[in-house]
Amino acid sequence: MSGQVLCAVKMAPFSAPVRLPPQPDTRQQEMSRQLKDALESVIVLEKFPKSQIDVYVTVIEDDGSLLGACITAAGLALCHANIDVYDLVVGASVLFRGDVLYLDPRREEEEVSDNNQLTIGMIPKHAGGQIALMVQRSGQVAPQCLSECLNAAVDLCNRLHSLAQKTLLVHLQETLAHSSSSSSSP
Amino acid sequence: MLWKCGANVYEYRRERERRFKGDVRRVQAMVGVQEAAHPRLVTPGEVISQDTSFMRGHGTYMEKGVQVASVAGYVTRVNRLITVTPLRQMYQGAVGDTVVGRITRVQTNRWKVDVNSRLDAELRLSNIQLPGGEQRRCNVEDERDMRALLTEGDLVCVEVQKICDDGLLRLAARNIKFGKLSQGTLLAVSPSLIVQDKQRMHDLPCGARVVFGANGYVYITPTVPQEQASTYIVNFEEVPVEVRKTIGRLRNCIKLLAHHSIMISPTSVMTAFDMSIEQEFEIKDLLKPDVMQDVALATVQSMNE
Amino acid sequence: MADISLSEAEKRYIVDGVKLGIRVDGRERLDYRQLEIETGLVSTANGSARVRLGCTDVLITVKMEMEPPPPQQPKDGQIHFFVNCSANAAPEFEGRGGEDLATSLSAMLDRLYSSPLSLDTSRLCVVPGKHVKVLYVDVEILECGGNLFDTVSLGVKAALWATRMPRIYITGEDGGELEFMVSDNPQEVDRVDVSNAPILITHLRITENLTVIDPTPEEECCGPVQVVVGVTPKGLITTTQQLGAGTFAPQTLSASLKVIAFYYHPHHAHTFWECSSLFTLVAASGQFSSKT
Repeated sequence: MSGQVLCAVKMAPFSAPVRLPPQPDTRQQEMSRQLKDALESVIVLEKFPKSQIDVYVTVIEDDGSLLGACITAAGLALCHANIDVYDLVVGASVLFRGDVLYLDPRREEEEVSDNNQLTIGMIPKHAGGQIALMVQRSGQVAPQCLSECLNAAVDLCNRLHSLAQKTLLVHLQETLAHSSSSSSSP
Repeated sequence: MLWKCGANVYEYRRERERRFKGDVRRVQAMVGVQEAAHPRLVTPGEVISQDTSFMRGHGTYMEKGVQVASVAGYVTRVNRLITVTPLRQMYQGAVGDTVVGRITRVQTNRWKVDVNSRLDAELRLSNIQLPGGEQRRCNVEDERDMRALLTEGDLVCVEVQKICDDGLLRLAARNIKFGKLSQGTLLAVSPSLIVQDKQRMHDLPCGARVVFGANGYVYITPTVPQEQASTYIVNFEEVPVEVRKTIGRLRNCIKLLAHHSIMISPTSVMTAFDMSIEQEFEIKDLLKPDVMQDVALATVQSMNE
Repeated sequence: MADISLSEAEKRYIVDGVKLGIRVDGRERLDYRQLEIETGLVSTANGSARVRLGCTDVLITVKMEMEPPPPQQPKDGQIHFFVNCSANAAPEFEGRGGEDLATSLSAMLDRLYSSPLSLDTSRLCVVPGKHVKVLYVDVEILECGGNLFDTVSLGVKAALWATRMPRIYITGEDGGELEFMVSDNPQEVDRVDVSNAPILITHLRITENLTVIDPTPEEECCGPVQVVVGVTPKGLITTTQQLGAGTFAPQTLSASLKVIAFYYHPHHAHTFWECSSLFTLVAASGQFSSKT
């Protein structure tokens, strides 16, 4: 039996303008489930038989594109924990209202009614780019338009991926430099 | 597509009546040998016979010397033995039956097999013919490599060797014709719909092999040209479209026979198969209730002739 | 959804079949199974529908209640979804086993009907700020035979279509409290406008870039990942959600979305969107009556 993933997204009571109740509401539960779906397809679960990987995400401040940010954060944390993944997973969100496309929308932009929001979680380098999660929130949009949004989100993910890669490399170099300096000093 | 609205209650009633008639017809076909025109149907608690000289069989109990039914079904009498057989039940098992089962668990030196019975049946490692020789004894290595032979989810065609006191079925596959089933599709129907027959594996003339498991599991698979060397190696070659069409049509035919409570045997399946071709139905048409009914009726008529 | 395990050989047979364009039961990749919708079965509810798709069987009821609205939406009625996956449907739903599925189903339905474009909740208002109609939609899963999301969404739409709410008259005011009269004339009923209500269509990824719609439980066993798309009668997409552990190539997702457009294309409307013709058909025949 291969490994299992447990995800819990928790929003701090002060993360939104209105105080949130401490117990998780439906939105948080839904996000936990979505994050789990995304991570399950990214982690090499065969390497973790009979084990469970717990991923806890605490949202300190919500300024839009929350699910995408959660995915990127969880992906980087998995790398930091040295858990085998197929590729660095990144999440991105696009918002579209009429003909206008907003990449990585802010919370104020999200809160305007009659808009569509598309969030994807993606592993851009694995098998020519694979989508691990796709969520589109209420609105009405033609399939053609949604495909365009998807492409935009994929582009955004590619950009985020190189950034995440860079961050990870910097982190690795720093750790390496730190450990070599500490090992030589005593 | 068929749409139904609230007003079509009558249609449901009709369908129910039709199904009931189908049941009666099936029962008649089954007990036709023992009893004449109509089988006697009883409900639990009903007194079957006041005569104390009868022996108590399955589905009955004795109260104050009177024989009472404990299940709803039809009464069968063989000499002095009276039994009540329910119309739909789980597989009870009989020694020598060929059944189709699915491995549910691998344990030390035995597999647990789902055979549509109350308990998962048991297939011991020592009761299968190991690859590489008839007369080989199983050793520790075989025990370690049990998953290589059969693993969870695999389908097997086996024989009932013994029924234990607690109703557990012990299975055996000590023969070249038994073993793991290769590519194909499984159907589950009521075990009482399967016609009793010595031969369970049939290479039908339409070009598919059908295993009518006595437990109600029917497996349809492409015909194998000659017996394979080992019965535990599965052929993963792509099945061609023509064979798939045959298998699909057979599958839907067996489904419709079961839905209309018609006994399932190679004859009835082939009749339904031919009828569906004769009436020029496409394979996916056979999923529609009205088409299913047409083919079922045509099959019954053709078989009565 | 249901717990079944298939042998490798069976999986291979299903996957190859999809590649060759013929599924195990003879359908093509984009064929639906036989669909049956029945409305008006439950006399104690304002609306009800039972949908059967293959072996899948769901019963949906709608009950209307009058409640004060939340302060942020004083003029809008509400619609709430509750899904019950009981052990009737599948043994593994026993106890809390079905809860995960139930919450993801109800979350999906919530999102499907959250937009005012799908269902105009302002028409459920009786007295702004004081009384609005609240529709409680209860979904009972009777049997699980694959493709639950599509079946449930169709059932919800049918049940809402069949909903008859007795007309409410405000007769007067007594010390700040409004007095109501509920019409008991069966002809005087309000209905819910579902002409724009979306339904869900699920694409199951079977292999590399091939998807099927309306999968059987055996097929669901072969493909871990599916994308659920909410579509309106006009062919617009309202919501999308990828479910399960697995990935899609972006091209596959786009192709699935276009297929959905195909289903709603006027020329192909007869293949699927007979849903609306069902409603007109039943309405025209005038035979609609609740089951007594």
